[in-house]
Amino acid sequence: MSKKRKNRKSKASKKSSASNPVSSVSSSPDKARKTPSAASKNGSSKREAAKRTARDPLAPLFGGVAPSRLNVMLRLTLLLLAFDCWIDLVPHGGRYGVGDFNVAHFGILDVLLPLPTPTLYVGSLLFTGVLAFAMALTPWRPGLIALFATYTLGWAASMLDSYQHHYLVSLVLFSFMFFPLESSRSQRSAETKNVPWAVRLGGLCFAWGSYELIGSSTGLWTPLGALGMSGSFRAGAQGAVFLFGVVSTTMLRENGGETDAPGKTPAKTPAKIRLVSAWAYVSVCVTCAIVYFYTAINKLSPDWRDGHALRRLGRSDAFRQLQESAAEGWAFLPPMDPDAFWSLLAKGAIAVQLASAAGFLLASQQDRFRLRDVSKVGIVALGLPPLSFHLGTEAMGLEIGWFSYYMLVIVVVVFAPRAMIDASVEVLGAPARWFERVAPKENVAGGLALAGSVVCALLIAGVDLPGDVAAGALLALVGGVALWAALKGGDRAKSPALLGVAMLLAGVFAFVSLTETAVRYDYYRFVGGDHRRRGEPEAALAAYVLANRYVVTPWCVVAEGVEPTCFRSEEDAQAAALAIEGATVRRSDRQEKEDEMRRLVEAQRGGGS
Amino acid sequence: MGRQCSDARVSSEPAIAEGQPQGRARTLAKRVFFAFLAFQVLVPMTYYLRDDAYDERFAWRMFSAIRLHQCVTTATEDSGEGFETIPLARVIHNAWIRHLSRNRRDVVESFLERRCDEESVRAVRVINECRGVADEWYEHQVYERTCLDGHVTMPGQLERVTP
Repeated sequence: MSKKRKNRKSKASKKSSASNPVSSVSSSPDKARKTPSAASKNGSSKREAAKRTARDPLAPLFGGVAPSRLNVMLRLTLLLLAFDCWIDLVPHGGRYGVGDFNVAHFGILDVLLPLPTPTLYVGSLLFTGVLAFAMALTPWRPGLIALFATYTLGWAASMLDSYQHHYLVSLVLFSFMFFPLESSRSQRSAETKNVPWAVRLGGLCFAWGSYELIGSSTGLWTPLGALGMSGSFRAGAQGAVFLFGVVSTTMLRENGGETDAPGKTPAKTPAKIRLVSAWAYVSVCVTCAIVYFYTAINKLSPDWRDGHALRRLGRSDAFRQLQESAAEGWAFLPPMDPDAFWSLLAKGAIAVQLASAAGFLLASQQDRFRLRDVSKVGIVALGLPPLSFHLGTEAMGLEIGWFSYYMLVIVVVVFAPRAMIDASVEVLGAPARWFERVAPKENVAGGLALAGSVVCALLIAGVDLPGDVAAGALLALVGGVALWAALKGGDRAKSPALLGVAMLLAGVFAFVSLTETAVRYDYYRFVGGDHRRRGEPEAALAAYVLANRYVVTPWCVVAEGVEPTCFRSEEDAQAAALAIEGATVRRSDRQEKEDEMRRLVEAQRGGGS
Repeated sequence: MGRQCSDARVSSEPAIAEGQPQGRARTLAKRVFFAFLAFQVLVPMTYYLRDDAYDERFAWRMFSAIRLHQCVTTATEDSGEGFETIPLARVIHNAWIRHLSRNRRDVVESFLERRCDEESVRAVRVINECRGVADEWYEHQVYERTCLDGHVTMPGQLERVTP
């Protein structure tokens, strides 16, 4: 570097430390607020630190992230992982060990774990889900390490699990092991402690509105959908909630000082912004950038560029309508024949993925700088390519598991302005902060941990799936370890209490997810189908009996061109069918298969005797 | 918006973060990050250096044209009376049949080895007839194992036979 450039940089950093309020952040903000004189004494050292930061080539790595962003990314991803394990992965556990055949992703696992069984696989998923849920509520480094290990082993043990995004989730979990972990209370930064209620409400609306928009695009349950809203009315309500969230979190927060409320004079002193050095967060963003980059490279083949591959993938109503509208001509483009349409879309996908890769790298740095409004909008705009890509893949109805959900969560957390994330955390994290304040200590905490773990273990052991008892026993063991930690006492004694509550909630959510959805029905009907194909009617009968016992919504409304909707009771289904022209109600279970297998078994027994 | 406001709220200078690792912790963090980065960059790259176009694991080739190939799988074995078809659905799970049809070599090799363990089986063969996304056909992918000496024949480069 030339001397001239060095001087310029040095001047810039001096100017920065003198005038930039952002850099005046103590390593202990609470302490700094209590003793202003101490804060002024530290001024020169902070200026030195600012200079060092400006010169440091590794600043993008260690430079800092809003604690709320770390908080939300870790917790939401882990919550999603928990439900992914219970709802999406468990139903396929019955294929493990069938025909005594297995091939692991890595040769060493073929030696160490030659034949994973349903008991081992489903049991480990139940355990992993509970662990992920508990770690989402009360992150603990040993727990995050165990989570990375059990989840990765789960998919790596067999090529039966070939979803690429499971590898991606493992990479993200690896980075999570190095996330800075703080309690919900200490994570609150100076500017979020006295947030006005309007902003808190805005944070809630931002979180809710984001979920509504993503959920309705991807077919998930949403509160507004459950209220019976549909069509443009629902879209309008979703947009209103989301926009209210955006406006109230940005406009009110941007209005000056740290405790600005409507009607108050903006404070002269600008807000102190707390940042936490988190290279692991940057690592997650880099991982996403690498994924998008290679995905774009893959699409450079002629088969993709010509649109053949995308045409085969995009056989959904949404894309058919898009193709028809393109044939009529869009406002800025002439009418296109199908070949031109798919080729354009395919090339667009490459551009979107390259833009997404660049966007993740840039957005990972957004908290380090106090950006102008236009730059903030720019960062949000960079999030649109990945957002549109994953909403588009969901519209295609591809069998890609929960990949889009993971990416949508990460995209929203990485690209959203800090003010929105802060406000969402402020309101959604309130219960956790309250519990941290009132949580009992030492022996009581240990007892709570043990009780929570035991209840969780009993709930898991009672779901009637392979491996449930083993998973339950392991969870009870976790409670024992937490009790031991509590008895050791000290400042950490609160953690076991939190862990106990987290385990209890994990057990309840796991139980409901496994018993009140189609998980068990799917698991046993898949097992039954496999036995039937392999000519094992007795085993098939046993599985079909269980499938029919656990069917939750057997009454389905079927109509041409409409996705079937299923209900618990025949009456509800009949009532829903009346609203759809030509709809009929059918029972959707495996009763016929069960009867067929019973006849076969009886015939075999009769023939045998 | 006056100058005062923008001066107070806007700056492109970086802020200082709490908890920056120092000394050995910083060096360790740096090493873990860059090792992890190198791992993530190099692993997908290996796909482009391999001769197995069908094994797209860990290469971030979601929705690739190769992934969309549609192959019809037949498996046969010679038990002394010539090659006879193996009823795959009765032998292995459907999911493994899909892996065979996707030309996953590790799976095919394990399957061939597994069938050779059966009594009196002399040779086993798996054949995939594959069609691409533009309805073009590819050379049959033939995998064969001679049970006596364990010799395995793998298909060569993936080549189109019709445009």
